[in-house]
Parts: sequence; structure tokens; C-alpha cells
Amino acid sequence: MKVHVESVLGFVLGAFLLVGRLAAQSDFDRGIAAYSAGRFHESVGHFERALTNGRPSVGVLYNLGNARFRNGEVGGAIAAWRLAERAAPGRGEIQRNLELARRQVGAGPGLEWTQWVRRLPPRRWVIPAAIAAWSWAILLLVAMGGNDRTGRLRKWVNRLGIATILLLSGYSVSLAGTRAAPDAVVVGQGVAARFGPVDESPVAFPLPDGAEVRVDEVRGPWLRIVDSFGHVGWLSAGQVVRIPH
Amino acid sequence: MRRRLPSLAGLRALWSFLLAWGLQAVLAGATARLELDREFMEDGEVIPMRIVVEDAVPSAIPSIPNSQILVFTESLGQEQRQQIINGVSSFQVIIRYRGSLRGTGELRIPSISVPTSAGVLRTEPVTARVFATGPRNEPVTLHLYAARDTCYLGETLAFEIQIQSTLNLREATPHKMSFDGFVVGRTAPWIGSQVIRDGVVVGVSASRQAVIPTKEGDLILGPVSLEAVAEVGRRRARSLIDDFFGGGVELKRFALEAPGRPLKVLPLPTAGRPVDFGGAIGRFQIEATVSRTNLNRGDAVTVRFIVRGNGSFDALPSPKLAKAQGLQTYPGTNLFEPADPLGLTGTKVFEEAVVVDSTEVTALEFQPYAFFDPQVGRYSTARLNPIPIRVLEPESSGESTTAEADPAKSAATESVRTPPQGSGGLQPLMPSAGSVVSIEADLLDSEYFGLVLLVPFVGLGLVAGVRGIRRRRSRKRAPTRRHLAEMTLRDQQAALRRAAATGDSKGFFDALSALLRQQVSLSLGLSNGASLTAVDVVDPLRERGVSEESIENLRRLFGAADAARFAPMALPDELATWLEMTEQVVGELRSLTREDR
Repeated sequence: MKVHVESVLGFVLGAFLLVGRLAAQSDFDRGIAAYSAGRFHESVGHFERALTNGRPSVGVLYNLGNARFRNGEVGGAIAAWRLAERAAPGRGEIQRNLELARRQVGAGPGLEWTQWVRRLPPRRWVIPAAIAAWSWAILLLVAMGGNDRTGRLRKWVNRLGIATILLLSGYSVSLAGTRAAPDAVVVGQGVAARFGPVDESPVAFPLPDGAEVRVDEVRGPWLRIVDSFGHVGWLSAGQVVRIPH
Repeated sequence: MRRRLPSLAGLRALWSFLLAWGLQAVLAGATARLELDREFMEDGEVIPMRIVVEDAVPSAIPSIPNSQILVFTESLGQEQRQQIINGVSSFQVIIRYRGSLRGTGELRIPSISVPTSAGVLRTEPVTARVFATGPRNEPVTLHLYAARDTCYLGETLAFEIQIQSTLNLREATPHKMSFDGFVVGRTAPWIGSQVIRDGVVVGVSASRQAVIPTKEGDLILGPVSLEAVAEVGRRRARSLIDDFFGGGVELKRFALEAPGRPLKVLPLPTAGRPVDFGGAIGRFQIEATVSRTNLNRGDAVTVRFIVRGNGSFDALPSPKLAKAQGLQTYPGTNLFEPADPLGLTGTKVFEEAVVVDSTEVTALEFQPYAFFDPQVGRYSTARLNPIPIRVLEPESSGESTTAEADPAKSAATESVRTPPQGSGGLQPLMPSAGSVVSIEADLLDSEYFGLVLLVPFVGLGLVAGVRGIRRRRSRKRAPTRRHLAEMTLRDQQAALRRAAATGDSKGFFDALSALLRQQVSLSLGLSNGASLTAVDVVDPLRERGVSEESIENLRRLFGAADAARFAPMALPDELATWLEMTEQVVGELRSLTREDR
């Protein structure tokens, strides 16, 4: 029997992916079991392994957030939920848990208005807005070409124009809100922002575990951050988890 | 009718009312202070003094009491000033005095009561030091004075350099001074004043500086030297220009030197030194505030220590919170606001960030703040009252962990933190992992992808632009009716001129007939002028403001053109006359057409 090298490679790759998936699923189930038994620290370990072995999913991220929260890691929990929220905007349980954690952290002003924007991120707006804008432009060109003898085309051009304006406005607000929203979460106790991007710089203000901050500038391993009260300081990159826009 | 003017007495009453009303309004900020020009003086001087009353009017001139050193004080009258600083208006009354100094030592002027229309204000006591008269062998002399002969290690001490001159001082070089054993502090700018000594007016330029002794024992502050140039007389000026440029003044350079001042620097006493003494030297008052007193566990608050008084602020240590379980402190900023140019008095504010990690903390307590008071030579301790605070558990409740019963949990206690007390609001776990998602930055969320939305608008703009350009070009290519008519007119006029030049009588009148009808129809905005007659056009042209002369000429030209159909022969001179008349009429009608456009 002739054995093809391509077939072997394909089989090995498939098996590798399958094992990884099964391992991740196994870690996910073990994480749930540990959580149910009240072993939250162990549960955090299982969910983190599930995240590393498999690829991230909303369920893993969300459950990891719950386990971390129960384990007292509020910052880590908020970071996990923020990533889950990014993947599945508008999921009620994620929002409710985030609200709970934020109340505990004592989130400052200026955070709330960006929260609803995160439920409808720019990617939710951009496709309908693009379809509307292209359709409107094409219809307008057809109407300009003198093919609208009955006037029905003009009516559709107007309707589509209004829809395009509304969708573009929503997209713009969503984009602005995303850019203004905090994109990093402080993880760990006793974190304090410094006046400058050096270890020797004096402490500017302390940040509680789970504080959500906006990163203004990145300078090597240091991040210039703005907290929800508008205070500006520098944090080491290891003290926060970045949430991509 | 003359308007009745308000009487002068009425105006005065109104002014007094407004002044009193304004003064009442600012009375809360009314102050009085006694000022001396210098802190260091010499025996025998007649010194100026003044009481400055701000935002109040004194009802009587207070007297400055005589003492053993200050004698023969007298008032020199008062003056009023209105000033606006940073948009804030203030009112000052300055009462001037002078007094004679007899003897040496500390001059202490006690608090003086200043009666004002709205109450009695009191000045702060003022102290100065009077030294024995120095050598006066030159008209310009240099002096060095120190606030004390004895001080403590680390204490901030003021000294003053004075240039005293009976001549007009023109310039002085920066002084050179030895500061062996001292750290130099702040320097105040030079201040000029005048005193009377033995009936002679002496100009005094003084500069103060702060020093801090860094070693114990007998030190010498100084000596100090500088060079000064003064006017010693006036030469006879050679010319007005010479005088203008100062050529008539005789200048002399003086090399001045003041001997060093011995200073005994004592160590801080060990007897009675509090255990919590951190090196603060001076006399201070302390106050502490906290940004909020109701907080959740884990919240950070800012504790602010305000230290007021006089002393060595540069080396002032921060007051501290008493160590307690559940409190984490982080050093913050500090800010010093000096109340005098040397920074000997003022307010220093220290901020400290405090994270409260326990609900058992019920008050913020402070360590005693010990300082050494060099004026009395002993230690004092300021104590701050505890600030009660209320620390609540964060708003989340629910199941408590069973870690204590769980060996796996116990094994990992190092990395396990305190779980939130109750998490009742926490939503349950998701039973399935769900589909794989990306947690990386999404292209669709990028603002660059938003540029896709702009493409249709750019396309539409391009199409509209191209269409506009095409339309403009086609408009250029297709001349208007008026344009065609004008071109025809030009051709007919040229034919008319050619016919007149060649004596072609028939061609001339044919061209004339066509030209007249074309021009008139164009001027009147008619579509076709082929059947026009002189009768048809006279009235409309008159209405449009064509002159009677042109109308008459037009009528004659129409008649000539009609007659020429039957007898077209004419002499060249006649053709020239008709041509001139035609040019005049057509010119006027054309100007009428241009105005219409």
C-alpha cells in the first residue's frame, strides 16, 4: 500500500487540531466543575488553559471573567468580560456582570456614555452604511442619467439618502465613542500611576484593581494613561490588559 | 428749559454713601499692617515707617509707641491709593511715620490698634535689629548684617547686604561673598530706601538672602565685597551735548568690603528630642484634610497636610499617617507657597494617596509631628486629631467561598486574593464555550475601513464634476442667438464700410437696410426685424432713452434705404455722409444693448 506524504501531513495536522480542541473543551468543562464546587482559583486556571489551548470564544472569556471575579481578581474579570463583550456586543449577562464589577471598582464619570456605543460597535454599522451609501449613489447616477421618467426612482433616492445619513451618523458616533472609551484595564492590587515613564518617577495617583483607563501614548514598556476622572499618569505595560478597539 | 443739576452737597452725600457701601462690602477682607523698609538698621538713624490699611478707612491716625530704641516717632500724614490687581480692586490708606533709633539690640514694635470707620484693626508685631554705627570713613560703605549671632544647625537664617551712600550711586557690580559652612537659599531683589543720619540723607540699597549652616561651631558668614561707582561732583560742562550725555558728571569707583560676621552654630539639643522628630526646624502649625470620608473598601483617598509657619521649609519632612492595618499609603506631591521673598514663612502642602483595604478602619490617625523651635530653643510636637472615616464593603454580595474547607484552595493561598464578599448579582456561567471569536483588532472597526463609505461620494463628486465641465464646454461651443446677431451686425457694418469705400451705391444701401433692421431688432429684443419700418421703432426707442437726434437720423437712414430700392445711385461723398450718420446711430443703439445686458 502506497502512503502519500501529503496524506500523512494532513492527518497529523487534523489530529493535532482535534486534540487541541478536545483539550480545550476538557479544560472548559473542568473549569465549570471547579467553579461549581467553589474552587475558583482552580477554575481560573482551567479557563485560562482553555483559552491558551483552543482559540478564544465568548463562553470561555465570559466564564473566565466569572471565575476571576469570584477569586477576587476584579481587574482580570473586567478584562475578560470586556473581551467577551467585544466578541458578542450586547449580551445581557456580560453587561450585567460588567456593571456589577464596575460598581465595586467605583468607576468614575465619563464611562457610561461609551458603554452603549460598545454594544453597537462600528463594525455593526459599517456594512449597512456602506450598502446604503453605494445603493444611493448608484440610484442617483441612474436618475441623473435621465432614466427616471415616472419619478419613482427619485422617491427611492430620497429615502435611501435619508437612510444613508442616519447610518453614517450612527457609524460616526460609534467610531468616536469607541476611540474615547477606555481601552485598558488595570490588573493587580496596589497599582499606582507615575508622573513619568521611569521607575524612579514619583507616584501620581493610585489606581484600583479593575480601573478602566484610556491609553494615550505608548513609550517602550510604558503607557501614558488617562483615568475616568481625567488624571494622567504612566503605567508599566504589565499592569494593564489592553482591550483592542 | 434748563435742567436742574443736583447740588454739590447731594453729590458728596451720594459719593460718601457709595464709598461706605463699598467699604462695608469689603470689610471682611480689611487688614492693617506695619511696614519697615529694612530689617537691619544702625544706631542714630531716622527711619521711615508706615501703617498700610487695606479696604478700610482709618477714623483716626494711630500712634506708634516709643521704646528704649525707637524714640521721637511722629506721623507724616496719610495718602490713599486705589489699585486694581488681576481685575480685583482694592483700596489702601498709607499712614507714614518716622522715628529715631537710639541704642542697639532688637527693635520690637508691638501690635498697634487702627480705628477705622467699621471697626478696630490690629497690626502684627514687627521686629528689626539695630546694630552699632559702623565706620563712616568713606561716602560709600558696605555693610553685612545677620539676623542673629547664634543659630542652630539646619536653621534658615536671613542676612542682608547694604550699600549706604551719601552720593548718587550710579552702578554696582555683583557682590562676592564667602559661604564656607553654609548652603545658600533664596535671594530677594535689591531694594532702595533712604534714612537720615546726623542730619544727612543716606541712600540705602539692600539685598537679603537666606543661608542654612551645615556644620556646627564658630563660623564666619562673609566677608563680602563689591565695586560701586558714584557721582562725586560735577565738572564744568564743555557743551550742552557733553552735559546731555553725562559728560559733566565726575564719577568715582569705590572698592567696598564688609567684614564677615561671626556666627555660632549650635547643634540641635538631644535633651527632650522626641522620638518622632524628623528634622523640621521652625515654628509650625499643621492641619490635615481628607478628600472624602465615606468610601468603599479598596477606595483611594487623598490626605492633604497643610503646614504653615516660619522656618526651614526646604528640608521640611511630610507629616505621616499612623501605621495601621488595612492602610496603604503612596507619597504624592508637595507644594510650597512662600509668604516672603526668602521663603522663611509660608505654607507647604503635602499630599498622600491612601488606599483603605479594610472595613475595620474607622479613622485616619496621624503620627505626632515634632519640630525644633529655634526661637525658644526647644522641641515642640503638633498633634492632629484623628479624622473619622466610614468604610463600606463594595456593593456586591452573595455566596462566600468555601476555600477554607477545600484543600486545593488552601494549597494556592499565596496567589488567591480575598474574594468579593457576596456576588449575588453575578450572572451564571455559560454552559458551552460557543464558537471561536477573534479578540484581535477588527478591520471593520478601523477608521480606515470607514473610508470605503466615502468612495460613493467621491464617485458622485467626480461624475458631477465631469458633467459640469462638459456642460460648460458645450455652452462655449454653441453661441447664443444674441452672440450670432452681434456677429452678423459686425459683418454687415464691415460690408457697409467696404461699399462706401468702393462707391458701390447699391451694395451700400442693401447693407444699410439689413444693418439698421438687425441692430434695431437686437436693441428692442425683437426676434425678427426684417419687416421693421421707421414708424414702428421710433416710439419704443424714445421710451428706452435714445436721443432725439439719433431718432431723427434713424428715420432719415430708413428713408434713404427705402428710397434706394428704387434709385440706388449716390455719389461717394453722399455715401460717406450716410456712413458717418449710420456709425453714430448704430453706436448709440449698441451702447443701449450693452446697458440692457
